[in-house]
Amino acid sequence: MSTPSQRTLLALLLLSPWTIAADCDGPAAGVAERDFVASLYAPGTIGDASRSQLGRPHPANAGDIQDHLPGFPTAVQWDGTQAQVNIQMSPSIDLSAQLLDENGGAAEDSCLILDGLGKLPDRGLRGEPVTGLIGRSLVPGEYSAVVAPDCFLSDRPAEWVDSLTLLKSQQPGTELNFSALSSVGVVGRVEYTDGEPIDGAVITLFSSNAPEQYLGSHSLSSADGGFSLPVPAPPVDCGTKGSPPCPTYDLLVSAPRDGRIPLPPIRLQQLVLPSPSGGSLLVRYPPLPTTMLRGQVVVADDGTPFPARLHIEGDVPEPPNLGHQFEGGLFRAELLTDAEGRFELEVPSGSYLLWTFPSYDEASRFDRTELAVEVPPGVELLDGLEVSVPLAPLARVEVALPDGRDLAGADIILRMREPPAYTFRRQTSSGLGGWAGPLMTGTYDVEVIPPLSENIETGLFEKTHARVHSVLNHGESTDILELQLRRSDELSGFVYGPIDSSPASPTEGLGGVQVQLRDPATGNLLDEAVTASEEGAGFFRALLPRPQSP
Amino acid sequence: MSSLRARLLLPLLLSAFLTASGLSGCLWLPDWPIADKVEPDPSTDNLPFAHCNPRPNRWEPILVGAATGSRTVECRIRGAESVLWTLSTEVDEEQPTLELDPSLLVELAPELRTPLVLGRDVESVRLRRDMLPWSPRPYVAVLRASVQLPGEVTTKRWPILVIPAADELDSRLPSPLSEPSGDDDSEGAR
Repeated sequence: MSTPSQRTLLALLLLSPWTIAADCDGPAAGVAERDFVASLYAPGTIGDASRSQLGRPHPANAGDIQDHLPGFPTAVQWDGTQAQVNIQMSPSIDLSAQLLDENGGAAEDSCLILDGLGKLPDRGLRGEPVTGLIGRSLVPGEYSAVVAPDCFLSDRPAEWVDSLTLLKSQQPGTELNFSALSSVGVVGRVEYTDGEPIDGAVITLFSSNAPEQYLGSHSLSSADGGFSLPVPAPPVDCGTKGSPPCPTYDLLVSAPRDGRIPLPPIRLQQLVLPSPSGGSLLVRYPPLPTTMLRGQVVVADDGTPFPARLHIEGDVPEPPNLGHQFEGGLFRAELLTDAEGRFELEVPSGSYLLWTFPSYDEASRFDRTELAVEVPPGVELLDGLEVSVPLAPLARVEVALPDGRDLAGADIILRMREPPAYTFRRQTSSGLGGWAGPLMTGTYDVEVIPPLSENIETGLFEKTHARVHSVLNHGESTDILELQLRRSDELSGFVYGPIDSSPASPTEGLGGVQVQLRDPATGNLLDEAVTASEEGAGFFRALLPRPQSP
Repeated sequence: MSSLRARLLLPLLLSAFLTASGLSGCLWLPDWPIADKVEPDPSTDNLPFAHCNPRPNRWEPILVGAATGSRTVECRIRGAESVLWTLSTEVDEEQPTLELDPSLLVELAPELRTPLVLGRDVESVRLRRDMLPWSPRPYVAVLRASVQLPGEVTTKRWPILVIPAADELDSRLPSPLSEPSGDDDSEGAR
């Protein structure tokens, strides 16, 4: 008669062949420790937004992860031997807020946009159309925020709030109030130095201290060159003796997106608005020499017309005459060619770069281009400009198993880092030992998703390896990127928490939660799963790769 | 089996086991040694088009500007025949699900009326200001993920609010064909 321990060992022995065959790579004594971060997402429940949290090995139940928000600076360490990692999903809070207009009444169609500062989910919240009320559940913590009347789409100034700490629920009747900035109108005119008005110039307002924060005020000049712009009302007595200085603004005047007015930007900096002298703003352009550019985008090999998206950008020098505010600058426009690849645009004289981007579907064959174009003064028409689009150079991505064998059937996700920022999916095949094909030049974030493998025991298809990531710098020659999967261990996990945001909510296993296991150093996704919803609610299984040997 | 035979077999079996487990580095057994552990129902893993993040189909704009870094929009998609991610200012009959007033859409160049394809057959796309169509004015576009499932097409939508930045308007953008830009990803918790 065998002892219980002998029976256990025999059971291990009987089961080990299929665990090996399935390449389960489960927890094993002596497996190197590793860190991970778990991102949890439960749409419709528990805060309605994702949050990153840490798990903790079971069965150290006393130390189970509690609410780690705000502030969870390090990842959990998993040494591969714990049978289960418990993750408590932090409770959410109820945000009850009201957006008010500058007179204290309910603001219509306004937004409160929260930025989670890279730690918490970002939320774009819109007040109820008539009442301005917002009722949402949120992950508690520190946000930055912007209160944007008309959600940035009108001309009323927005207010940026660097830090907004939300830790407790607000109940209806005790709403947080967010008031729109009081504003005052500023009027001005855009014209040439000879007095001719400029129709259709775009005028935008920014804080001089934070030019990356759009203030929400923009306008178009009318046929007589006039414009009006609401600006934040300055504090009473600002700029007077003993009072703080008045806030200053940068005013940008530029051409519209399609460049239909040949107008490089003028930036008026450090303006006190409204002007203490009470006058209106006058923006004066010199008479800039312009040239009509006409051209066609064609395929380099055979001259076939090639419809494409164009981005043109050029340095326009400052002309010598006085009486204007233009100090030289960049003229910029984006447009589409017609079906024959033709384009036409009037531009100020200068040194230009013209970029063409193939459409997504053409990007599987053709490359982006960059063409330098010199537009000298005194030339009215520059015709016959030809932009030749070459075929995209070949790239090759090879994916190998941990033992070095080629892996067929893996998905390769290629994300461009530069415009036009397309995302492609390709698949490895056994015949090629990877994937090879034309690929637009550029830098790509590469993610490999291994295929499922059939479990001989159950007949089910299962994941066997975690995802791997790399970067492909694809130039004009054929580039080869080699990636190797890492042996991976299966982690059993359990997500639990309050079932709603009320303080008295019972805690239990949470089903339907997406769990993303991420590399704490890079943020790269290693594996993901969804917790079971009914029997065994809250349980999930996912893979973690073993650390690479030094 | 007698205890003597068991004792004799044990070293042999142990040796074989250690050899086998050493080959794979694997010693893991489902449900062992934890009592009463319930295995997850694998069927919950297979919702065809779910867990879209941020939550789609409502007017909660995703702000993309110079200070926001990149934003990732993702869904969990299983068993789809195709997936298409597009960005446009096109107004369609489903727009009311976003509570998006067409009058809020700032008039743009025609190409954004025609959907701009950002990706096919992927589960996520990344949005960054310098990757999106450039404009000196703010604009709203609608990001759509259309998933062809057996017998039906399901589309989910997100409003994208793109705002300008002063430095971007009067200084040269980095050439897309020269130095790669770093991905200063400031997206929310992921």
